This record gives sequence, structure tokens and C-alpha cells, in this order.
Amino acid sequence: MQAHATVMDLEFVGFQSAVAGLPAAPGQVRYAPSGEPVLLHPAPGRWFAPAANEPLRLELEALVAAGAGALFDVSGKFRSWSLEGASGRAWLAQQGELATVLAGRDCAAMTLFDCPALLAKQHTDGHENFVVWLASSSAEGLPGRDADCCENTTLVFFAGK
Amino acid sequence: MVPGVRYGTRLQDGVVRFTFDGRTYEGRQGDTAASALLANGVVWFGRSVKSRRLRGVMTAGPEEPCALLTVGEYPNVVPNVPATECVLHDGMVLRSQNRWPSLEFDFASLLQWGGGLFTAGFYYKTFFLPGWRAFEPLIRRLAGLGMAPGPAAADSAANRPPLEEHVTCDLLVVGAGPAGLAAARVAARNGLQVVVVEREPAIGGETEFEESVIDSQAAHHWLKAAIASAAARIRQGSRNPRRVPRPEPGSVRVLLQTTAVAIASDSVVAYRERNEPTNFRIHARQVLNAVGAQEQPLVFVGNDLPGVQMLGGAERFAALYGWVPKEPVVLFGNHDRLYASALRLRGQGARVVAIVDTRPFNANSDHLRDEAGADEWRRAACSLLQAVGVECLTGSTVRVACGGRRLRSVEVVAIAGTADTREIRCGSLLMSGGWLPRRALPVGTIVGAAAGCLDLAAAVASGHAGGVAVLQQTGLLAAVAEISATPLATGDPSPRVEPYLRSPCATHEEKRQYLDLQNDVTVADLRVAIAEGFTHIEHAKRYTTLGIGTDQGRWGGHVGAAILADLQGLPSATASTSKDRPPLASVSLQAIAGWRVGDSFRLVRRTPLHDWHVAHGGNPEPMGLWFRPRFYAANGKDAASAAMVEAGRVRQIGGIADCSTLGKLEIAGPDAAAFLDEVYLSRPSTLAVGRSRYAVQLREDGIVLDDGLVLRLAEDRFLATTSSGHGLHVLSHLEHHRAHRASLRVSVADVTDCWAVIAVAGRASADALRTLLGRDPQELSPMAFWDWSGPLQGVGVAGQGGQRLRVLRAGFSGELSFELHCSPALALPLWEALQVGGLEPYGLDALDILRVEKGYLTTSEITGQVTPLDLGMEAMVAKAGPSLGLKLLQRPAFHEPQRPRLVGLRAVDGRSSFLAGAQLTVGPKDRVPMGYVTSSVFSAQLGETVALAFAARDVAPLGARLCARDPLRGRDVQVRVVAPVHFDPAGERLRGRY
Repeated sequence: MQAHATVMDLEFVGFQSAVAGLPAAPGQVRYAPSGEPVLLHPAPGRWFAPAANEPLRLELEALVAAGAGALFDVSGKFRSWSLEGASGRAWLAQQGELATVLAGRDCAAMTLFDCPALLAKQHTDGHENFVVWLASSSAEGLPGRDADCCENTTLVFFAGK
Repeated sequence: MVPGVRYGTRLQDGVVRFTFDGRTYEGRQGDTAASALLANGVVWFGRSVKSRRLRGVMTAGPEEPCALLTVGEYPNVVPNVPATECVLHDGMVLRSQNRWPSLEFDFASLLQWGGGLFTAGFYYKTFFLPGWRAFEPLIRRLAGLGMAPGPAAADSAANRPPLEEHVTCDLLVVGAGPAGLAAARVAARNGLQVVVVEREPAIGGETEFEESVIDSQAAHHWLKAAIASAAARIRQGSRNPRRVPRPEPGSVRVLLQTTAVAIASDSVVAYRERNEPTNFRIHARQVLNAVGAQEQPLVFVGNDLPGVQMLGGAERFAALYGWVPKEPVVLFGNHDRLYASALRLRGQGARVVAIVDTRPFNANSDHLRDEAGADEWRRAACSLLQAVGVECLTGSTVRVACGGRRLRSVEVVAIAGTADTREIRCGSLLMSGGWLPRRALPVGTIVGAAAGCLDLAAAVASGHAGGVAVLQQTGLLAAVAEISATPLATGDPSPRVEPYLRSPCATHEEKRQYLDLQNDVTVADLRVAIAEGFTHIEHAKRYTTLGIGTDQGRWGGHVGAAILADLQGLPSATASTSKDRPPLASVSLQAIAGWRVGDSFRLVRRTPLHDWHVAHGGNPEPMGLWFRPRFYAANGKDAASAAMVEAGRVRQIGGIADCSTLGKLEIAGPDAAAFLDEVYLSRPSTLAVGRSRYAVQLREDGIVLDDGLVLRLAEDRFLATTSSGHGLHVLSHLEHHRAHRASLRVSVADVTDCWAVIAVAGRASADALRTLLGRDPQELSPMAFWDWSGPLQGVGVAGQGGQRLRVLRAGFSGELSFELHCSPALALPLWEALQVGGLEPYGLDALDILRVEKGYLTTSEITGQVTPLDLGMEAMVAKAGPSLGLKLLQRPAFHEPQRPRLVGLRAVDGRSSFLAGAQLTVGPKDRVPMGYVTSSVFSAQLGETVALAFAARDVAPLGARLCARDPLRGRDVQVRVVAPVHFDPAGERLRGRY
């Protein structure tokens, strides 16, 4: 692994479907005290750490050293949005029924407007909001589409986060 | 009631002004075009398709076959809108259809005097002299229905994509009539989440205008109260539906003006096309179809005249919109509802002069006997009506509706006994031939009128029982809680329908007994179809065009099928209708498309440099999965000329290309090298760290899957590039193999979007990179790379901080080349810095010229049908370890002499051009091809067309002469077989030796 940015998006792929110490249940998320998701388990054997801080990166590298899996720097792979409030839910509901997608889960891999996406609940400000990560090359054209289909939706766009 | 003022349950205060065929009218808020125009005395609404006969309004619902309007001004027009569904707003512009120059006088209506000329299938028997083409312009002018919107309409604000919403519930009820709401009520009261879809803007079905009582309350109030008490939230097309919360357990959510049309992917598709258009996908555990029943027409001579209407439609116009015919009215039908309807219409001010009931008294039929007291009820109703001047003619039928351009009178005869006829003068004939179930979704159970429960009590009981059955089936409740008793309902009497198909007439009159009012299909047409062998309804439908119009046979399809059977002497009860196909109701293409319009039609990925390409005339086009610039407008007026300039510049000086679309997969783990040896022919395990190699993957069957580069980043980490657009496919292939080799400690990740790639090619490439890096990139040996952590000259510090850069000495142009793999945020600063260094961009077409000149492969050659042996990779195969696909590559069929082989081609005369796709034959007259041209470009370097092709090995040695045949363009070119590498075969330029 090259050490470049101090904050990176990381993907840990286990050699087996479960790795001790990481969220184990399908769709489980590890949250920061602030309520932001820091480690997602959206698919068997895969964990996604958006904007991983140093302690988390060291934790994952330790798992690599222990032979549990491989770590990949996927910075730039996703662009993320925070979706807040009822309008955020409505925007997501355009592509799937949240209750079904997130049944018993805090995160899921899904498709949003044909874009590969990751979706996670976010418990900030005392409310349940969402963060969505869309594949960057697909998401480039999304804002125009979004403007047509969801007025009054609060979108907080994080560039390069 | 104030005379002259209409009172209807759908009408609101407020005047609406609109135009119809250029004339201004007034209506009321809530009016439909049909109700407002009828109230203004309009009789004619359009003309039929084939014979251009005048048409009035037949029904009051979406099944309206006659009154179809074009709404709006060109180009923003919407054609074929039923006037009965078109809710007015101020300023609306409406036009009738299918007439020229006017509705009152249509030139083409003279066709109807052709009589027997225009029977079913006439177009198969006419237009022979001088030929069909001679008539084509006229036919195109006359055919069709309505006017399509103009291209500019797509950008109109009125054509915004509809919203989409996915909804999950325990029970979906289709139809908010008494049966549907009774089911929803009992289900929701016992804890289920219920969603009800209703195509009308109000709940209640026929209780909107029938006087009916449920549990001692007016039915309409009972229905509203019933779902309100279950924590219902009735959606009336609210301004911001997103504020409406989702159903909670034990609640009912009603979606009005929403039509369920199909099943797709285990969900119900429903559309709301007015009042915030929305496409719904409803995921329901259970479905109840309470869609009601469709009133059926009766068939008699002249049943298409304006003034003839369906009785149910007239009742709706009266109750909902306050309109009744001003002319004398005759009711005609075969059930007891005629009498209740007559009383209601009289109460609304209609001058009902007669009821014609096909059923005699004291009939001994299966349908009418054993109905104790029922005939007595009818006799009493007749007496009541006769006392107020309504003549009741039982056991009689309307044989002919008389009139020219509108109804003037009806000819009534007794069905049995005397042949005497009576003429009753009237301007309105309201007919009702009973009811048949409406089309329902092909899932779930059917309740209410759709299940044959034609009176309110039975319908409510049916709905209630359906809801109880759902409770018992869902298994969501451990024990069904106390179920409320079946509601007691009373309304119109049970209709006691006695089937009656058509009135008697002479054979020559059958051409005026209509079964399809849009396409002018008559009983005579069915006889012609039968005589010509089209006896099955599916054949007869298509031959006669019965039911293929916008109503899709809802009005006359069942009756037509029954008469078809009857004409053949078959029992009408055995008649089957043609197969229903979704959508169950008319849906606009805009609704079906949803948000997939314009740029959103198909997902196309963009590179980090996309905006730069757009801003600098790159005109990115969708190429497979990605937008890519074919050429840059500053270099030529079209792709061909610009590509020549760009390719020539690369050969002479150098250039840069955006190759970010390459797939990139990272493979890591202690067993990564061993894993890659199993999936690539080129044995990546033998690579040193910091080096790369051209690599080919095979499928299990020995066919080439893809090619690319494999870079060894570390002992246990590799990067594999794939063809553009193949990244996910190859990833899937690798994951599939990884799953089969679970013991290997290896992981794969898609990092395509993590890296932008800039190709830097040409003799000036090294100088440009030397300036950028402060180091000579030719220190890299071919196929080696640096992971660059040093500074970059000419790129701002802010653009470098935390960004990644890899410099690889490799390329796809045949020139001294490098690839810069970088973080997406670094791509633009690098791109611009390289241009400052004197390198200009080239597009995909130029890249194609360069690579064909060098015999490099793309998916034009790696087609999914060729082996590595076909591609001339024998050496690579020979050196490969035991990798995937090698075993089956040994199959004898892959080694036959006729197998294709990759060759180069040039024209024998050195100047003719030939295109990719041209078929190769040995001789100019051979008809069996032995190969084809895969890629062809004009090489400015060589001054002629050069190509790559597949040609059978046994007839295409080097130097052989073949013929490149292009039958589409009528061009055959003599070509000779050459080595695939046309330019610089020794690779001097690749090594930087200029």
C-alpha cells in the first residue's frame, strides 16, 4: 500500500466471508460517536471504510498482517451524498422500498438510477438520515437527473471525501 | 336547484374557459372535456378511423372509444386523450381528430359510401393497380389516429419525468369501490398495512351516484368513515406527497387517480399520470382485485350514431357532472337496473320516454326464473314509470337506431311474436347489455363486481370475505382478532341480466351493426373473416381490426367474440376473447419511460476529464458504457478528417489521450500471483515488482475473454487492466474463479474509478514528461513503471497533495509511449500541464488509426468467438502454465485449417478503400465467405487503406489475393494478405528510435 493521503477510502476484502473484529452481520455498520458510519459491511467478505482515519487504517492493516484479507485504497471510487429528512427518504424511495432494502440492516449495496451504490443509515442530529456512495464515473451525470426528479431535497454533496 | 345550473359531485365553483376546434366554450372546475362539451350542446367529438363516421360520446370512462381529442398546441400536443378523462383547466386547447378540413365536413368521409368496398381485410385485396406504392402517400395521410408531439416537446417543462416511488404493504387492493374498501377496512382494522389504488379521483365506485346504504349509513359516507377509522390517509394528489408518511401498521393508504397496469419483477406497476405524475412499484404480500365490471353494449343497426350512449356513462354524467340529455331519452337493455336508472335520470331532469327491455315478463329462462318476487318488483317499477309517462316495452328490442348524422328515432320490435315495428322519436338512446368483469391483474383474488357480484350487498360481502381470507392467509397474525361482521348493504336491485347479443336484422344491414367504433368493424366484417378462414378470435381480431384501437376491445371485444362464435353456430358461452396483455390500461410513453429520458435514458459513465472534452470540442459520445471523445472539432470538420490530423500529429510530434475508461482491477494476497497464473496466459508470477506485461485471459472453453496489462505493484499485489467497458465482466470472471478456489488467499477489488489514465505518445512524449517529472522517463525500460512520489513541475502544489501517480512505459500507438495512472483529482492538472508541454489531445478515431497500423487488438478482433491461436498468439500459449481455458483450447475444432486467422489486408491497387465488415471470398464470384474485415482505416503514413481481418488459414497465406465484398454498397475490392503490423514492423519507434 502506498501511503499518500492521510484520509483514504479503504476497502477490505477478506479471504473468508467473515473476519473477526469486523462487523459480522449482513449490513452491519460500525458508527462513530457522532453517528456517522465509519465501517460498512455491505457484502459477504467486504468492508468499506469511507474516509478511514489512522486508527481504523491501522486496524485493517493489522488484519492484513494477520492474513485475514487484503486492503485496497479505493479513494476516488465513490462520490458521497448525505440525504436528510423526508425528502431524502423520498429520493431514495424512487429506486427501492427502504423498508425492504434496509430490513434488519444499517447498510446495503444497491443500484440507484442505474448507478452502483452503497447506502448507510446515519444517526446524526438525533434523526435517522442516510449517506449514499455512488460510483464516481456513474455519478457524474446524476445531479442533472436528480434536479428533475426530486425538488426540495436536501443534498449535501461531499466532493472527494 | 337553479335552472340552467349543473349540480354534480365532481363539479366545483369556478369557470373554466377552453377551446374546442377553435371555438371557445365555458365549463366548470372539475368538468371533463366530455361533460363540459355535452353541457354546451356539442354532439360530435370526432370521426372513426376507417370510414370517418361521426362519433359522439359513448361512455364516461377511460374505455371511451369515440371521443378522442388532441390536447394542446403543436409541438406540445397529446393525442388520443379520451374526452371523458380529460379534466379541464383554464386555457386548454382541444381538437377533434381524424377529420379534414373540419369535423362537420370531412373529405374522407365520402369513403363510407364505398359500402362493400371497405370490408375486413380490403387492403389485402386492393391497391394492385398501378401498385401499392402509388397509394402510399394517400394511405399515410388518411391512416393513423391523432397527431404526435413535435421533437421540441421533449424539452417542454410539461414533460418533466414523473416521480417514482416504491411502496411495500401487506395487502394491495385494486379498486376503491365498495368491495375493495370493505376488504381494506377489515384488513387494516386487524393490523395489516393496506394500499388501495383507484383510477378515479374519488373513492366509492358506483356508490358515488347510486342511492345505497351500508350499515344504516349512506354508502359513500360509510366507505369514507370506514377507512378513516383505520388511520387512513387519503391522498388526493397533494401538492407535496413527500410530506405524507408511509403507511403504519394497521392503516390504509389510498392512491387516487392511479391505475394498476401490470406485474413486473414481482411488483405491481401503477401509474398516476395527473396531479404530480408518479410511477409506483408496489410490493405487496397479497393482492385483491376489486376492479369492478365493465358495462357491455348491445348490437343493433345504427348503434354508432351520435346520441347512442352507454347507460352507466349517462348516469355518471348526470350524477358527477350534472348533465342529462335534453332530447327525449329511451333506455334499452336486459336487466332490472334499467328501471332504477330511469327513475334517477328523471329525477335529474331527463325526459325518459320509454324503456325497452329485452326480457319478457314471466320468462322461464335460467337467468330469470326462481327469482321470487323479482318480476313483481319489475311490474311495480313499470307501473310507477308508466304513471309518469314512461312507456315500458318488455320482450322487445331496438332493431334500428335511425338518423343521419345523429340519432333521431329508434325502431322497436317485439322479440317474439308479431313483426310490427314502432318508431319512437328520441335524441338519446342509453343502452346497457349487462356487465362483465374488468381486466384484472393476473395475481391475487378477485372480489366484488369483478367476481360477478353485481349488487351492492353481494359486492360488499365479497370484499369483506376477501379481506378476511387475506388475514387468514398472511400468517402475520397469530390469531385473527375479532373480525367485524359483514356489513349489511342495500342499493340497486340485483340486475338479473338475461344475456342478449344483438338485434335481428337483414344480412345487408349487418354492415351497420358496429362492434368496434374506432375501426368501424361490424358484424358483416366478422362474416367476411369467417368466410376467409379466420374463425378464431385471435385471427379474426387481427384480420378485422376488432379491438385493436385505443380502447383495446373494452367496449365491444367480448360482444364481438360472442357474435363470432354465434355466427359459426357455436354456443356464445364457449366464446373466448383475445389474450389480454399488459398494460391493462392506456399508459403514456412518458409514464413508461419515467426518468429514463434524455441523458438518463441509459447510464453512460464519464471520465474525470469529461468536462474538459466537452468544453474543448471533444463532443464525447456514448461508446459502450462510456462517454468518449471521438475527435476534437478544432482538428477537422468531421471525424474522418480530424482523426487524420490527430493521428498524423501523434506520429510526427506526439499527443495525449484520455484512456481512463480502461478497466482496472487490483488483486492482492499471498496467493495473488498463483491465482493470476491460473487466469492469465502470460504467467504474471514471473513478473518482477515494478514491471508489467501484456496479458490475455481465456474463458473456460478456450475462447479469448479479454486482454490488457498486468502490473506487479508488490510481491503480493497486482493491477490488471482490461478493455474499456470490460472491467465488470472480467471482475465477475475473476470472482467466479476465486469462488472455485476458495483455498487461495487472494482478494480482488475494482479500482477503475480510482485511477484516471492519460496516454502520452510520440517522439515528444519523453521531453514533456521530463519537464513534468524532472526526470527522464526513458530511464524506464519498456513495460516498467514508477510509483511517483516526487514533485510535479507545472502542476500546482494543491493539485499534488495526497494524490497518486504511476508512470508506466507502455502504449497503444506504436510510438514511444507512456501511461500516467493518477488520482482522478490530478487528471486535469496533468492534462493541462502536458498541453503546455506541447502535446495536444487526440480522440478515439485517431487512436483507432494508430492501433490498426500497428496490428493491435480491440474488441473488434477479440469478439468472443476467437482463440489465442486465431490471434497469432501461439508463442504465448506455448509458454503458458496450466491456466484456465488451455485444456479446452486443445479441442480439434480449434485446430482445423478452416479456423480464422488474424491477418492484415491492403488493396491490390494500393488506393481502393474497403470497410470493416466486408466479407472475404477467394474469388470475386464466390458466394461463401471465408473471413471478414474486422477493422479498416486510411493510413496517412502509408498512403492507403490498411485493415485487420480474419481469414481462413488454409486459403489466406501471406501474399494471397482475396476479394473484399461489400454487397450493401455494391463494392468489391481486390485485397492482398499481409502481416498484421502495417507500420514500423520492427518496432523502432516503440523503443524511442526515431
